[in-house]
Amino acid sequence: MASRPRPSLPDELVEAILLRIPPDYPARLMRAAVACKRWRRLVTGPAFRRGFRRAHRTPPVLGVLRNSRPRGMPTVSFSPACSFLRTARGDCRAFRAIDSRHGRPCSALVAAVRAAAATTSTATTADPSSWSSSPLTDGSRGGTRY
Amino acid sequence: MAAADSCDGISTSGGGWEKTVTLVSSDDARFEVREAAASLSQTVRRMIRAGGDGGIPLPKVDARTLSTVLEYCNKHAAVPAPAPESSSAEAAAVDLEWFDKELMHVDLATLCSLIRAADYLEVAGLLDLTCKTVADMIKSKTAEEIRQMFGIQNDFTPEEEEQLSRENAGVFE
Repeated sequence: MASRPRPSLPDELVEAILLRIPPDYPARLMRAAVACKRWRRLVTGPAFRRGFRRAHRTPPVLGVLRNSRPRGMPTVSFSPACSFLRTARGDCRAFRAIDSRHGRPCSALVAAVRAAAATTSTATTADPSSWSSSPLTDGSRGGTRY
Repeated sequence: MAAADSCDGISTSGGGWEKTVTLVSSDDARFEVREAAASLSQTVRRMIRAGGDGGIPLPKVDARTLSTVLEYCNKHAAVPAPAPESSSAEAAAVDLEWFDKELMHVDLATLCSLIRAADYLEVAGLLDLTCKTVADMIKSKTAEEIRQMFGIQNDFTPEEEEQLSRENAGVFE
């Protein structure tokens, strides 16, 4: 008996399917993305990200950033809204969340700003060191201005 | 008139006179279909405008798939323009939803054939419906189950898998 043909689709049609995975639980899309390198490449590509934003205009809430001062130390805590993000780094000490742009929270490194302000001119405080991170990848990027 | 060249006849179904066109599948099956239904396909619509004799050839779609595509087109073209707030429009929408759901009760290989055909024929509604159906099938599956569904080879090295697991907890569960 002939074996059943395997379903195969070109990249743009795999993308069309993955774009329609409901965004309310990011793990679903991530599981599909790690099926193979080709699918991961598609999902992480800029075209997919643009299409995903277009298809799902209201982005899902991944979690909440909270500023607090345990023992006087400014701290940013991230509380994930879904279990998929449970390994996202918890507290960032000496940081303070001040904004969120394009899905990346921006936090100022309070200690660095204070130290710089103490040793150099006041202009440093107007151009603070800053940090932005992606809660999905836990990746961080320095030097973002806002 | 060029547009009339590819129209093969008229039918009286539904109590009115309607133009029909003949579509020819890759395996030479011929389907006579109302022009209004066939025109849900932007590809066919362009071919009707361009004109031609002996039916419209669709070399990328086999008879079995084309038959399902035309079932979709016939049903959706038959729905009248919605009269807002009317109960009949609401009933028609429910009926159409039920029809779409029934049409999607097919296996994955057939769904993929329909996706390719809807893309080639540019039937936007059917492309959306089929892709959503497959996305719904995928969404609750693990990566390994998805690989099995599509016959995908896992080409990540154990080291890469370990790194992905580290960065994205639960991604392989």
